[in-house]
Order: sequence, then C-alpha cells, then structure tokens
Amino acid sequence: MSLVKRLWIAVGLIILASILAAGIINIRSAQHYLENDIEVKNLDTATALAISISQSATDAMTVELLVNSQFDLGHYQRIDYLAPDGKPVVRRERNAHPPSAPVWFMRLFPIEPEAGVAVIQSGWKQLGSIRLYSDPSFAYDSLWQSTWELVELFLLGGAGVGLLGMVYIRRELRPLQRVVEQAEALAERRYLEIQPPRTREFRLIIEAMNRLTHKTKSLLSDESARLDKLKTEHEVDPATGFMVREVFLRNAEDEIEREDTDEQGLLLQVHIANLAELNREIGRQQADRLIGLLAQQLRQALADRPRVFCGRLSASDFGILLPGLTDGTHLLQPLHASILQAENGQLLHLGYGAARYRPQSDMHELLSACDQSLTAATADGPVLPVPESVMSTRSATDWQRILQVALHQHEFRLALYPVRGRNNTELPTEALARIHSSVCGETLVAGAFLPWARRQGLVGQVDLEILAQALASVDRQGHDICINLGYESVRDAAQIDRIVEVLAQHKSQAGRLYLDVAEDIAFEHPESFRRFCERILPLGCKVGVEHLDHHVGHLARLHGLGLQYVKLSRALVKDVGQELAVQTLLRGLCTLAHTMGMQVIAEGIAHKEEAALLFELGFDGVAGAAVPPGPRPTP
Amino acid sequence: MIEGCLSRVGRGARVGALGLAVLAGVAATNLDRLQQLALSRHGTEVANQIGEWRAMLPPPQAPNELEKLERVNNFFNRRIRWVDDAALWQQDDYWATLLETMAKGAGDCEDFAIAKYVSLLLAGVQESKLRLTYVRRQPHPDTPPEAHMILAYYADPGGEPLILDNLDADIKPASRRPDLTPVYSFNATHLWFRGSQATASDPTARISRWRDVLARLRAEFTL
Repeated sequence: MSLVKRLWIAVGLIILASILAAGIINIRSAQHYLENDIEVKNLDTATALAISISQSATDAMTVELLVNSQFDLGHYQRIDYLAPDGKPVVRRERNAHPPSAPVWFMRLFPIEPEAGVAVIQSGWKQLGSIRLYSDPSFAYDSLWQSTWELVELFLLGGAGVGLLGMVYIRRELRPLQRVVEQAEALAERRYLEIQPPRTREFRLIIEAMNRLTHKTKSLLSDESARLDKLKTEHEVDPATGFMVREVFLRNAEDEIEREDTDEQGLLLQVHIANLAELNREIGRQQADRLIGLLAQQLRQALADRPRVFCGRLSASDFGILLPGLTDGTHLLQPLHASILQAENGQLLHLGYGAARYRPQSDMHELLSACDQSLTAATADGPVLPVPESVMSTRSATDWQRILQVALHQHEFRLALYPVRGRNNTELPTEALARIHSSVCGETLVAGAFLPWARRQGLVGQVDLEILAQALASVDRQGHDICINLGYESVRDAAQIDRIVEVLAQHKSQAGRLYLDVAEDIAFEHPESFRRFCERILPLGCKVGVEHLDHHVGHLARLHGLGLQYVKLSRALVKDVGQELAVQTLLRGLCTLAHTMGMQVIAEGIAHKEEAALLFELGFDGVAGAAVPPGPRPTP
Repeated sequence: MIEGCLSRVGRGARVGALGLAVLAGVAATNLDRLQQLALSRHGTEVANQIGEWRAMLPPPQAPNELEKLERVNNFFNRRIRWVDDAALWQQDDYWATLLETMAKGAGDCEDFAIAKYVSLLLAGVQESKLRLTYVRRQPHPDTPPEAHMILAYYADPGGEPLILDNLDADIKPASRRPDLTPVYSFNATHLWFRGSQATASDPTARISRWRDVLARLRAEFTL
C-alpha cells in the first residue's frame, strides 16, 4: 500500500476518533444539561406549588383537591402527595409520551431527573410533601434530534477536514516522488541532481544523493579526461593537431566502407614541396611553426563542412577526406590564398593532389592516385587536377523520383546484421536501410540515397518509414531491433512529435526498439539530444550512441541521459590486437561506460580473435563480419 | 469522618453516593479540616472558636434531643451578634456558612438558623425534624410586621414545633410565639441530587440561595 494511502487511513481514523470523542462529549453535556434543567424545573415547580398550597390549604382534603386541579390543568407527568409520615395519599400520573429516540440511545444516554420535592404546611402544622415528576421523553427527543444534527455537521466538517488533509498530504509528499525518481535514476546509473525540498527528512536524503551524484559525476569526468588524454597522445600529431597516419587511414577506410555515409567523396592531398629547404633555411622549429599555421588555415577553411577527416600522412603531406564532395576547386582557392596571406605563408611551396573514392575504393590505391596527381601551385593559384569520375552518377531528378516512389510504394527494406554478446548471446539486431527501387531496378544502400534525401529534405520521412519497418519487424519476428536515426529526427521538434506518436501507437513493440544516434549529433548538439532522450525514453525505447570515436574523451557528458549503450566506431577498435595503448584506452572506456550504466558494443569486427580480445577488455557485444548472419543461437 | 457518617443518619440511602463523592475528591464532612480551614483563612482566634463550637456539639448518640437543642441554641444566641447583612456583607441579603458566621462573630436571622440547623444535624438530629421557616413577625399590633427566619424543630411530624429564634433566647413551642406567623418552611432533605454532584460543581445550584449555601457548607467540610 502506498504511503499516501496509509496516511489517508491514519487521517481518516484521527478524524473519526475526534468526531466520536467530540460527539460523545457533546451529547453527554447536553444530556447532563437537560437532566439538570428538568430537575431544577421540577424543584422550582414543586416549591411554587407547595408555597401556593401552604397559603390556602388548611387540611389534607384541600391539599388533595389543589394537587388534583394542578395536575389536571398542568403539564406534569406525575404528582404524588405524601402525608407527613411519608405515606402516599394521592398519586396522579399521565401515560408517558412515547419518545421518538430509539431504546438503545436512551439506554446509552439516560435522562433520569430527580423529582422535585417540597413540603406543605398550614400554619405550624405539617400537611406532608409533594413530589413532582416530569416526562423526560421530550428531552430524549430533543437530544436525539440534536445528536443527528451533530452527526450531520461532523460528517460535513470531517469531509472538509479530510479534503484539506488530502491536499496537504499530497503537497507535502510531492518531494517524495522526486526522491524516488532520483533513487531509481541512481539504480539505473543515471546521475540526477535535484533541488532539495523544504521537508527536513526529504531534504537530507536528496542532499545525500546529490552528494553521491556529484561525486560520481566528477569521478566520471576525471576518468573521461584521462581517456581523452590517452587517446590524444596516441592518435594526434602534436605539431598540427591532425590524426597521425595510421589513425587517418583507419578512419578514412571506415568512412569509405560504411554504408550509411556518403558513397563517394574526395581524397585531397596537400604537399609541402620545400620542407627540406625550409628546415635548413629557417630552422626546424620555425618550419614546424609554419606547418602548424598551415594546419590551422586548413582547419578554418574546412570548418563549415559537416564531415571531414584530416591526417598527417608524412612530414610534408596532409591527407583530407571530404565525403560527399566531388570537386575541391572552390574549396582550395580560398584556402591557398589564406595560406599565402598568413605570416611567412609565401615561404611554403605547396602542391595539391586529389582522387575520388567510391564504396569499394582501396585506401592505398587512392593514396597513390593522389600522389601521382600532385601538381604544384603556380603564382595564379592552386591547380587541382580533376580526377575522372569513377562512377556513373544519377541526376538530382532521378534521385528525387527514386525517393518519392520508395516512400510512396514502401520500397524500404531492412538488412539485418546480428550483434552478439558474451558467450554468443543475442543482442539487438542491427538493421540497415535499403531501397529496393522499382525505378532503377537496383538495391540502394543508405550511403547512396541518404545524402540525396538530405538535400531534398526527406530524411525525416525516410526515418519514419524505417521506424515503421522496424516496428513491423519486431512484431513479426519478435526480436529486438536497432535502427539509425538521422540528425533531422533528433533535432526537429515536429519530427520528434511524429516519432513519439508512432511509438505511442506501438507501445508493446516500442520496448524492443533500439535507436542509434551518431556521435556527432549526440555531442555537438547536446541540448537537442537531451530533449530527444527525454521525449523518447519514457515510451520504452532504448537509445544509444553509435560510431563513437572522436568524442570518446567526452563520454562523461552522456551521463544522466539514460542511454542504454554506446557503439564504438570500427576506426577506434581496429588495431586493438596490435597496439597496447589502444587496449588500455578501450579497457578504461568500458569501465567508464559501465559505471554510467551503459553497455559497450564494438562495430565492424572482422575476426573472431578480435572479438574474443574485446570481450576480455570488457566489451559487452560485437557486430561485424566476425558475427556471421544466419540462424540465431537457441536461447 | 466519624462525624460525617453520623451526620448522614437520616440519609442512609445516600451513603453509597457519599462514598462516590469522597472518591471523586469532593469535600465531605470533616471537622478537623474545617478547623484547619478556619486557621488558614481567619487565624488562630477563629480556629479556637471552631474548637469551642466542636466541644459544645452534643455527641450524636446522646438520647436527649431537647438538651441538644438547648446547647446549640444557647451557643449561637450568646456568641453571635445580630448584624444586618448590608452592614456585615455589603450585600442586600447574604446567607453565610457556619464558618463565615463564626469568623464574623455576627450574622442575621438566616445565618443563625443555618448555623443551628447545621450544628443540630452534626449532633445527630434527623433532618426530617428540622425546618428552616420563613415567618412574619409582629411583636405588637401597632408595629409594622417584619420578615424573619427561625429554625423549627418537629419532634413529631404532625405535631407542634419548637422554635429556635435568635430574637428570643428561650426555646418555646410555636403556640407560645403569637408574634410569629409561618409562611413557608424547608430543609435540605430532597436537595441531595446524585450525592454531591448537585452541589459545588453544579452551576444551577448557585442560582438558589439555599442550594448555594449548602454547596458552600459542603466545600467547607461542614456538611
């Protein structure tokens, strides 16, 4: 039974007890008052009667006559006339009026007034005494009636007080709800800090939990910062802040292979032709400074691109992967100009090379293609060799048609990839979107159609379509399923409303649905992501962050959102077998994520040995080629 | 307590109620406590007088009631001066208790009658034989009549009473007091509602002068 109900019962009992006590006291005092009143009246009447008889009567006969006449004309119930020696002479009595009060009531609150007695004399001679009785039934009636009025009044008052009590209890217990929420959040390893309420006990609890939360938070932040440092030391070139060669290659390969990003793009190479001369002429330190300046200009020029990867390929070469871009000329012109304008910028002799990539491109072939196309910049500006197009492109109109038809004809399909936990247990199946297009007769992967859908503002609709497919799949196959949502679905309030609506209609399936959100959205738009989580999580869905790589060091920022898991990018886990530093990083990461109540899943694991090592480091699940699709293990 | 019990001879039926009253902490007859009260309220002198009054009180078991009447009548007629209520109590009419009358050493006709009435009860005289009586007094046909109160003693319910009067030192039968015409008489026999309840604690008792003085007598352990 809830505390509120218990308190309610207590309040009810207290009210009842006080009503009973007050009622009984009230009735008792009324009873005594009535009894007393009748006694006094009896006495006064008897005295008055005796005085008047004493003035006129001379013998017992006259007294009897006077008593009789008094009785016949008056309202007495009974008058006795007693001789001086106490023997009754006359007794006149009327039948008692039947009271309307019930017998038990009269037994409970008896009204038994004493008779009024007064002596009669004539001169010095005593003539005896009279006893006078009143009928108490009218008093009973009055008491009974006033008792009813009292009961009515008390019930009304009790109901009023009870109502007030309920409002008061509700108000006072409101902080308790927050205490419970915070405690539950703690149990789920979400760390909420709550404004302490005024009630002392609640305040103490909440303050204690706040302290715990605060401590855990700072612990998480410290650990996060340590991981960030570890990652930076391992992956970042100190002079430029770009990725070191291996990390760049890993990321670039991952980007090219991934289905859900742009299918094609540009690999740009920036070459410093005169690095050896620079080192000689201005000294190594100055040369490094100049290279840092170059990197800064590059970063500024690329700042407004949504996805870009920069790496230092060698002392004199920089690689820049630009997904979705096919011609870098308009990007390069201002970049080159700004480098020349910078201090000592003209000292650099720069050359540029480029190569286009498509899904199956090999990174090493791309690099050598770039290298071969290197062309030195002239005085007029950079010359960017235009690499030949490597694949046939559809026009925007074609894509519009493909997407419209796919949305109308429901041509979206989910490609399912199993995810396995320790001991080969089953984790939510990863579902990637495809279009079985009737327009071009091909199966198109997300990386191909999503950029176009984005350009045409259709991602929201596509996400809803995929969501509907996923819910249907959950319903049909009864497994947990995991889909990706684009940033449009996370940032647009109207789109969130639509998603909430769909999920609310499928309450029973929603609990088996896992929604992946890419790290860029989660970390670069934290407020939107928080709002998204607050709306979606109450519906039973799980939310996680996928492709986690660059923001690994900021993992602690995800606390308090109630996320179920993080999926680590393939780029981050790829070299786990070779590099001890990576293992240290990943082990720390797993510990941190577990402390925050999140599972850790590795993406794109190719080998069984790799998977085994990851589980050893503390991972909860792996996805990728190491997990063959096919019959699922029996539970 | 001995006196208390004995004073209730005429009211045997009420003994149970009296027991309840004692349990309830309500005052009952206790002349030692009366004397202590006299000492604490009025000082040694009054306490001594109460002592003398107690010494004078005839024992209840004494057979001769006439002698009891004589002793009580003489005690008060000699000790107490007649003073008008207005002079003594600054009130139109005030019915004083025995202790109050003794403390003042003075009183008017009601105070005499009440003191004698209480004393005789304590001396074992049955209540049914005693009547406080309002009388009309006219010593000479030429003088205007005045209101007066005396204590009447009926040795026999149907017979002629003896008159205990503060204006006449001797106890005489009614027939020898032509100056007095009785108007109405009463005693406390039927006022003992529910033991002690109807006295000190009962607000209605205060309305009647008679019941008021009875309540105060009880509070002073005299009744």
